[in-house]
Amino acid sequence: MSRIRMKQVQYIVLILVGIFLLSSDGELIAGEKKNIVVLRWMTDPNPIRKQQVALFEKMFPDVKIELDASGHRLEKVLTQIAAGAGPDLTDLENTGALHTLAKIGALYDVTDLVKEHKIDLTKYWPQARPWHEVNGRIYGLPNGCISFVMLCNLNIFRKYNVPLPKEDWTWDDFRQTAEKLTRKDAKGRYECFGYAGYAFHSWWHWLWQNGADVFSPDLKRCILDSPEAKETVRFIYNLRNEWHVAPSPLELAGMSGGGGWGQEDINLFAVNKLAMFERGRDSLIQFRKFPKLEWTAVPLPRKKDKASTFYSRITAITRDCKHPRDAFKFLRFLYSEEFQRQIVDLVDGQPSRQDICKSDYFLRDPNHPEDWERNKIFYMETEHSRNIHLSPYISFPEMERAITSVFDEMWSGLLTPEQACEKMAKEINFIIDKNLSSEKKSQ
Amino acid sequence: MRTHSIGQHLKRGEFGAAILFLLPNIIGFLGFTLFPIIFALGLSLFKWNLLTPMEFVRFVNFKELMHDPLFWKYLYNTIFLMLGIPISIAGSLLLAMLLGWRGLRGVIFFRTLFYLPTITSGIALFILWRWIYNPDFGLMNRVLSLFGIQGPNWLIDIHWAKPALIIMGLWVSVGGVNMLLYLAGLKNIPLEMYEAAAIDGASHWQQFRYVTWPLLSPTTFFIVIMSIIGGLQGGFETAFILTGGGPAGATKTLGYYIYEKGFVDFQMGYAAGISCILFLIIFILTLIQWRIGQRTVYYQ
Repeated sequence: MSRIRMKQVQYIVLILVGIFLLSSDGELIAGEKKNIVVLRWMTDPNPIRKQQVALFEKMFPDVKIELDASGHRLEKVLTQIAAGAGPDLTDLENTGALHTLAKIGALYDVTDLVKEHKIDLTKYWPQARPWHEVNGRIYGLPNGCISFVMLCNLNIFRKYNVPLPKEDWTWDDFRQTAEKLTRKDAKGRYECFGYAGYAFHSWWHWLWQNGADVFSPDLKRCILDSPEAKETVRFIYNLRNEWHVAPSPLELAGMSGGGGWGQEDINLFAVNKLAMFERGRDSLIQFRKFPKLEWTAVPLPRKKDKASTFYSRITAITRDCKHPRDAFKFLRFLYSEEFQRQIVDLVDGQPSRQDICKSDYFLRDPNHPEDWERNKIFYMETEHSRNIHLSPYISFPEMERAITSVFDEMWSGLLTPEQACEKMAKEINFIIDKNLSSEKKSQ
Repeated sequence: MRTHSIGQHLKRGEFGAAILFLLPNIIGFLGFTLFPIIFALGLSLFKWNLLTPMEFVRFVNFKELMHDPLFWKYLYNTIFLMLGIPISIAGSLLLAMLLGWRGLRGVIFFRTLFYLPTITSGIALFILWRWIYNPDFGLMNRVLSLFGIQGPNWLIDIHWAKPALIIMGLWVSVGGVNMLLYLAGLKNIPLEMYEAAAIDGASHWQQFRYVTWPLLSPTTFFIVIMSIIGGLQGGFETAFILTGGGPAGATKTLGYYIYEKGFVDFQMGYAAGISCILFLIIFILTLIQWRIGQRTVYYQ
């Protein structure tokens, strides 16, 4: 190749590399267009988020939301923030994520902004408080909530002529109802199960109903080895292995088609293979896809106590946000009556404001009279619902892994329920003790 | 004889152009390979959760690792899942020999068919195998029932989850890159060798044992080393997408554990420590294989 041509090639390569480097410069990507601030909101892939964004942009035309609906798992949020590329707004999936991010300064403290804009936090359900407050400081605002109720497939109840449960039904009533609803076909294969629902998030209220809990009041010990906890886990175990009214979680995962928005039990319920399972009001949006499905909601059964599990979702501003006051407009939007009513309309759980939940807009929605009785049950159960108390001495993922791993061993027949409870308590306490000891050493 | 450096062979302009063309690769290697390796080695001596300042803890991470029952459990899982490697290599060789048979028609069709699983999306494969392994209506248990065998719960059985993954891995790897490498290796064996062996009265088996196998030893050596390295580093995708690492951690490998410790528990130093141990294991095993290879590999 001649010298002149080689030089030309060199110049061309240099120019191309330069263009590549310049085009990847983040500073050139517009965060502001004219007087409009663009904010990135990291949330779940629920299709209704677009409608929520549309309503927000109508109310606050000077702020545009760029939806990042690929999920908001803690590891994703934290990694992006560590790289300096975090979202402006992010949803948080549990109180553990809130505490982790707040503790390391990854979230923007909005306490003063809440006071400035006179946002009355007492309007929210009291159970929502731990979801946005850490040591008296506010780091976000609720974005909808749910409480678990027992959803009943009326098609199946009517088919087998089983009466609907009463409001004050007990664990024994529940077991008998599930037995009547569990049926096999002529070849001995299960046609329909009476109940399903041992996902990690759905057995906490069974513990509370029996006077048990996962942690001691000071959150420094795991008390899953208490007699009440063992009795509860034995009851859940017997639902499958003794009374055969439910598939094991592993079998449920194997039976389901999975995929899409929602989970295996919702799909089985919708196709009339499952008579009862616990879920919140957010499942309604899935059921509306199945017009032939007839269902209702009843309170959870009780034993020593009445209890349900409360879940909230919150949206927080991250420390990477360059326009926190504009981002706070989104939090104000979440607090607004317009958004809370939109939660009712779009069936995105329940309004996180108690006053909206008590109103006729929720309890007697004229567009959906079929939901009146169900919404009343959702409201009533929320009054009895509790938060999952997470210990600050063990991370949520570590706790979840310890529990689900031991549960897997139990379902595989390697452990009895009582042994499983003792093993869970032992493993969790080992981690708590290790973390407490590290904390003492660093002090 | 005078030796000349590369620079002296090339003219000035050509040398500059050579560096320029190599630069993206060099920058990529330094930035995305060498630097992260050195950083990870250093990080293993610290405690760090990505956002707060690093805390120098010397060898505390390694000490905790040695007493971590999960580390040993997942190391066992990783090694167990590598039991499929010899079967995969034997299967690849067999397929290559069949495809290399001169009398076979439709070689290109079969070669493409066997290679398809390698180029199919991992997610699609996992969805397919999840259906195949379904205990109630899956293909695997249906076929077994034809022979009067009641199939296990496969992916949801603690004892059968790992064998299930090995079988799935064999289905992908037998007709994959190893088969192509063996095909190329077989084509490089001079036909005169076989003719000479035939003249000497060697049977087909003797021809394989004394001609094919020794002359394929460089290819086998390469495949074994790469398979072992891949096996020790692998298992993340399967655990993350197909099984979630379950049941009860039965399908979690060291690769998954590194991710879990680093990006779920945010113990980056601990995760770096695991990766250092893994690097050491791979390094020692590779050295041993090189030593063995020097004595057993035949180069033409």
